[in-house]
Amino acid sequence: MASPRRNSLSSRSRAARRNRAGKVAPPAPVTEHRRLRTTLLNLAIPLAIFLFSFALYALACDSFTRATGRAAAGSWDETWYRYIEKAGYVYNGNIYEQQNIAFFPLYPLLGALLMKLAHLSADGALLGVSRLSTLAAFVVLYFVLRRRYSLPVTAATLLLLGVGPFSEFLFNGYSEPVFLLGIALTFWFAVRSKWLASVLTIGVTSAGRPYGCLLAIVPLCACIEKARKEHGWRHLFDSTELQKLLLVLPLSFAGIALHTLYLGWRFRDPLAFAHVGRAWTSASTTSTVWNLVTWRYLHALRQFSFHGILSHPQLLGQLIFLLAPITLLLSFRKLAPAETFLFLIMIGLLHLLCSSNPIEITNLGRHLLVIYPYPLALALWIEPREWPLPRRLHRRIAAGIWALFVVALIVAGAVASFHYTEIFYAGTGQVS
Amino acid sequence: MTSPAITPPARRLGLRWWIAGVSVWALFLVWMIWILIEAHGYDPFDPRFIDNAPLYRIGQTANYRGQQAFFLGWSSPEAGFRWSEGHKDEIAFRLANDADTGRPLLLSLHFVMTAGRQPIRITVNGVFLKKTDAVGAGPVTAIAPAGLFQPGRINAVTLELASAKMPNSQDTRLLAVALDTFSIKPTTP
Repeated sequence: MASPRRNSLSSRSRAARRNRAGKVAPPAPVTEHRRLRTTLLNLAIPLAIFLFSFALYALACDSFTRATGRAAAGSWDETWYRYIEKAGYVYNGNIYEQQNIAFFPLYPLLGALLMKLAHLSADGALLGVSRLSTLAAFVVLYFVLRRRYSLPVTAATLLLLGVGPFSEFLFNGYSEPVFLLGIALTFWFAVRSKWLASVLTIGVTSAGRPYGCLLAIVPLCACIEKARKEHGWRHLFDSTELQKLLLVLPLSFAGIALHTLYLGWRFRDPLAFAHVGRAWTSASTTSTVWNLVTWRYLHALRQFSFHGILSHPQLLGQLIFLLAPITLLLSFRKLAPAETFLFLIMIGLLHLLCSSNPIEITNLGRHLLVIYPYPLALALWIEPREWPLPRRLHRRIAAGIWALFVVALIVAGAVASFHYTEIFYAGTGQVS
Repeated sequence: MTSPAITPPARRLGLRWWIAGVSVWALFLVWMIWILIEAHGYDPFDPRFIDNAPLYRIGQTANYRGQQAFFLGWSSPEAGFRWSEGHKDEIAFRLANDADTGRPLLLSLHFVMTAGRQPIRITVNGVFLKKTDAVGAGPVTAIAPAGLFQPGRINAVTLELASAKMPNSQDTRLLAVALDTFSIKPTTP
């Protein structure tokens, strides 16, 4: 069940509103000045977390050097997006050849728009869209989370997103930030009962990731929850809000539908993005789940060493993959059902997409990166007030775990970033 | 579940909402059916894709990169070669309408290395041609009878590689042969 929204006022300010007789004084009128100060403070926190996260990325990835052009050729997916941004889609019909048609249009379209408006280079525009989306997503997520959770949980969630081992993908020119912004806006509209706006956001997001349309579960669950509270299960469909939402729900497929229409018209193959995706799929690799079932990890555990973690940070990704559902189940009662449900659906699909080789596990990490209920679950887990222990004791334990966890994540993030940077910019990751 | 204290009265949606909603659902269902038909009937050798398929001319020596053929099931190109991946791989290409296939043709596959001794079963357009072993660098050849390759269509050379294996614990691909070139030439000038 969802936690009730916590009062954002500190205990000191609450105490100040009590008079000597113990009666609660009426709240002071909110002035424009005070409102502006609160807004600025609320913006400052996600901005500070964004800057900290970006600074970490920059230190780890030598980002500033890259921006000057030393290795500005880009790598992996960014190369494909830049190609689409400049020259559009190209497809020769060979489904086993890696081609740009496998990538979705939302991100390169936004890049092309920024390139035109701000007169930036193709690379600069893509990086600009990616990083601005990350910042916007952090701000929106901050306000979404603050409606339900305390400031420490909100800040911790964003921090965990920003310093996680795969947070590099929030800054390196990939499309994840745009998708993350889509998720954040979907939740933003859903928690404000703006169902049509939420569905339209999902429709646009589905032009960035084909499974973006799965986000439709979020407003649907939230709307059903609201209708249940207002009308009860028996009269659920008396809710006009739910009726309207059900009528417009297919709009959440708008982006992917328009893209398939375009592909059908242009290349006579509306599912070309899926067909050519086979060029990225290795037939002989197996999924993480399959490796678990067949005890293949026992062999890896026998060879476990700290050096192994450093040289193969994909193990970290696999560990995160395994811990995610456990952490989520532990926090289930404190998470909003819609978020949990979405997460479970996504993780159910993701294991089908991901294999055991380093590249695929990197993909797993970056796909997980944008599913924010996981860091939210972690943040709740380490929130001192959620612990059923004596107050002083749980504060100390929680503070210790919290500190260890953040340090571990920062180290892990740095190691992973170094590793992937090496792959990206050493040339082995260049698109052939 | 406790019933709410106050239940708002049921309201009906306006006609405009119903028209918009039914239209959205109708469009969605039409799109979904179209996509399901496309997904179900997909065939990489569909005549619609023939124009897009790479053209191979008899007598050419084609490389591993894929300009003259589809490499179905093969690994991505590496520096100078392309590994087969898994136990069954295909090389598919379109022959020109005027290709002379009315006489025996020599199919030659040149490997730069193999993962140990590799038994290979070669078929062309589903017709068994030859079973042989490949070891290390060198060509593997087979003679295709007249009429087996078909002009104006996509032709497929299939390699069945029963002994494909993982080279080490880091590389989880099932590898057998690393191809650099292939060719189809007349057996007689």
